[in-house]
Amino acid sequence: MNQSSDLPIAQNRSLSAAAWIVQEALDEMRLVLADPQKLRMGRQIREDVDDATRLQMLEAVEKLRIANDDMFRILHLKPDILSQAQVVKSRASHAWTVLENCRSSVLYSSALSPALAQRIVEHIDRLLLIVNELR
Amino acid sequence: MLDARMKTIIRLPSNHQRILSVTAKTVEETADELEPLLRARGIERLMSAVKTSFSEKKRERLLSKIADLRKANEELVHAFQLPRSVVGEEQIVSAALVNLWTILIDSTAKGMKGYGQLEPGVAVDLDMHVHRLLAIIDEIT
Repeated sequence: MNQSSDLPIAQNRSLSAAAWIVQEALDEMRLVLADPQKLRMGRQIREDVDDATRLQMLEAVEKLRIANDDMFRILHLKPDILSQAQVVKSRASHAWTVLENCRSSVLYSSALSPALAQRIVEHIDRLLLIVNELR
Repeated sequence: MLDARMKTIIRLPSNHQRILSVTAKTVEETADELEPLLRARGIERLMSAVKTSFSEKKRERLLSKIADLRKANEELVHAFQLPRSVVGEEQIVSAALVNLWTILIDSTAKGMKGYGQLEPGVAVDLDMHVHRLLAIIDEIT
C-alpha cells in the first residue's frame, strides 16, 4: 500500500468526496459507540450493543479510518477546504428552509384551529428570526 | 409576558408533533454542528479544513445567537411536549455502513468508468484501496 498513483481529475474529485463521506460516517459511528452520554434533545441513543461487540466495532472503525487515510494520502486525494462563514451560512440556510416549510405546513393545515396554528407560528418565527441573524 | 406565553404547555395532534419534532431536531443539529466549529476557531484535518473567517467580535455574536437558538428550541420542545426520538446504536451504525458500502462500490474503477477509462496500473491501485475499505466494512456487518 505504498505506491503513489495519480488519478485523473474527475475520478480524483469523486474519490475525494467519497473519502470525506467515509471520514464523516466514521466520526458519527465513533461518537455513537463511544459517547457515554448518548443523549441529545432531539435524539436519544439506545444502547443495544453488548460491550464485546462495541469494542469490536470501535476497532473496525479505527481500521477503516487508517485505510481511508492511507487511500487519501497515497492516491493524492484533495482536501475539502471551507471557511467558517461558508459552513455557518450553509447550515443556517438549511435550518431556515426546514423552519419555513414547517411554518407553511402549520399555517395551511386544516387540522389545527387558527389559534393553535398561531401559537406554533410564534415559536417558529422566533427561531426564524435568530436563524436569519446567523445567515 | 411573551416568555410566559412561550412556556405554556399545549397538546398537539400527533402528526403535527412529528413535524415539529423533525424541525426541532434540525435546529438542534445546526447548533450542535456550529457551536464547536466556532469555538475551535477553525479545524484542520487530513481530509478537510474549515478556516477561521470571522473577527472575534463576530464570532462571539454568532455564539450568543446559537445560545439563543438553543433556548428558543428548548422552549418549543417543552411547550408542545415534543417526543424525543429513540434510535438504537446498531441501527445508526448499520445505516452508516450501508451508505458507505454504496458509495465505495461506486468508487471502484468499474464504478467510475463513466468518468473515462483509467490506466490499468492506476485502476489496480484504486481498487486495492477501495476493496481494503470494503473488506473492513464486511468485518463489521
